[in-house]
Amino acid sequence: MKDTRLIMGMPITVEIADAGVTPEMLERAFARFVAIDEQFSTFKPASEVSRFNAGAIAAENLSDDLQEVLRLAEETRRQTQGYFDIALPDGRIDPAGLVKGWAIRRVARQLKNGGCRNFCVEAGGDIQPSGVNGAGKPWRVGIRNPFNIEENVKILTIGEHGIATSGTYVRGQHIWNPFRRDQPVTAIVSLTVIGPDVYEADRFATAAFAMGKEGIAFIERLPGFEGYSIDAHGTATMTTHFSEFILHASDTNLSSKEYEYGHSFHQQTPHLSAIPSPPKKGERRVRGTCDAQYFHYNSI
Amino acid sequence: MCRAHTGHETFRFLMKKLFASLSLVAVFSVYVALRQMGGLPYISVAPADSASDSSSSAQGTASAIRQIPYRDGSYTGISADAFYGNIKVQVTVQGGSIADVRFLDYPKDRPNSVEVNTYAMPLLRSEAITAQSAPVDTVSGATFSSMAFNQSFASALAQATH
Repeated sequence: MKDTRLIMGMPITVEIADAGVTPEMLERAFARFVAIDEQFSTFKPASEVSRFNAGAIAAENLSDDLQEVLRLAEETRRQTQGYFDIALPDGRIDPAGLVKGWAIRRVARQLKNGGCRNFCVEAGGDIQPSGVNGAGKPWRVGIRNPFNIEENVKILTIGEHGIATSGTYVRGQHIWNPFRRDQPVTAIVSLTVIGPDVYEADRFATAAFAMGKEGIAFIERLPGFEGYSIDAHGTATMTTHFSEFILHASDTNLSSKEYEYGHSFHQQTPHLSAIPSPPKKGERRVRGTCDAQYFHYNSI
Repeated sequence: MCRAHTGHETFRFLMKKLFASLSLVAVFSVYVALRQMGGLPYISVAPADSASDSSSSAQGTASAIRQIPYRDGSYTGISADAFYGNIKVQVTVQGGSIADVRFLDYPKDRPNSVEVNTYAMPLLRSEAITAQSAPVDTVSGATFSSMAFNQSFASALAQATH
């Protein structure tokens, strides 16, 4: 059972492949997305984030969910040395770059807690699969061709991992390097990240994309993550073990081989050596000024 | 504190120096491999799918310049000394374009080299993108335009209501 709805300004698809699936299961999943949107949207004046930005809620009175998102955003900012930052120059916050992956993770966990085993949740191109599809096979995930959205350039099976793609091709240039606000990221048009789950993949895809050509090297150095970037000339660059997720043409007559997820990631916290230096040596980064590390991710 | 900072700066300086020399050696190794193909100095970046049956796929990649086509095959560059180890690459050409560049050898035998390697030169492979025709369950890509989605969504609903 599968449905697609427009929530958070993007199409969200939930497919449940379990035998006992009911329409109510899908409804509950979509209802969760709607609730998260109501809470985190910067476009809804009544949302908790909007009221926090308006100064109507004190930090100590924030909900557990928003406190968690703020904590995760700060963690991500540190792990990406400022390439990911939800703080706006005027002191407000826009957690949109983090909330999408976080929301998919929340819904996936809700589905599992509700007894679902085989499902796939996709929101705006970020995906969390679980179990197998309706045919009893691993979920097949395509990477969209940034030059022709009707095509895929890779077909993957990623097991229980999450996958996310940041790019410039659908909405125009929407990611900036926070250290060079005057220069939109142009060299790389699409960067796909596979991570331990969709939240992890999403936040590092967003940050790595902002790094431009350095982004794929950042993912390479990040334990537990693989990546596939495509530049403006149609040349792709992949990390060392990315190919283990590729479903090759010879495998498309599905065999038991697909069930052997030989790719086991080392589950580690990203360490400092994984963080690239900012582009300009000695460049000052001060929060709260026009030159502050500001991450603009117009995902909603 | 001042001493530690100086050490950090020195480390970064050394890393930059090493990375610079490593890059030069890698570039040279690729150069030698390309020379075997007789194609220098033109490096074709035309994607392999430009010759595929999908005409629309060329819209974004047509700007890639195809110059002297290379002969198909795999070409191995020399093993070049990178001071703390050797670097050797192999270039694979398919359909006249560079389809893959692999590192056959790189500094990895000494702990110090591994440290340098992981810091400065990840083993990244490159290829020209190609369209895949096998069916998929779902697609990862940058966020769809809400407006386009809305239009499609609305038109679909309109059909559904008639």
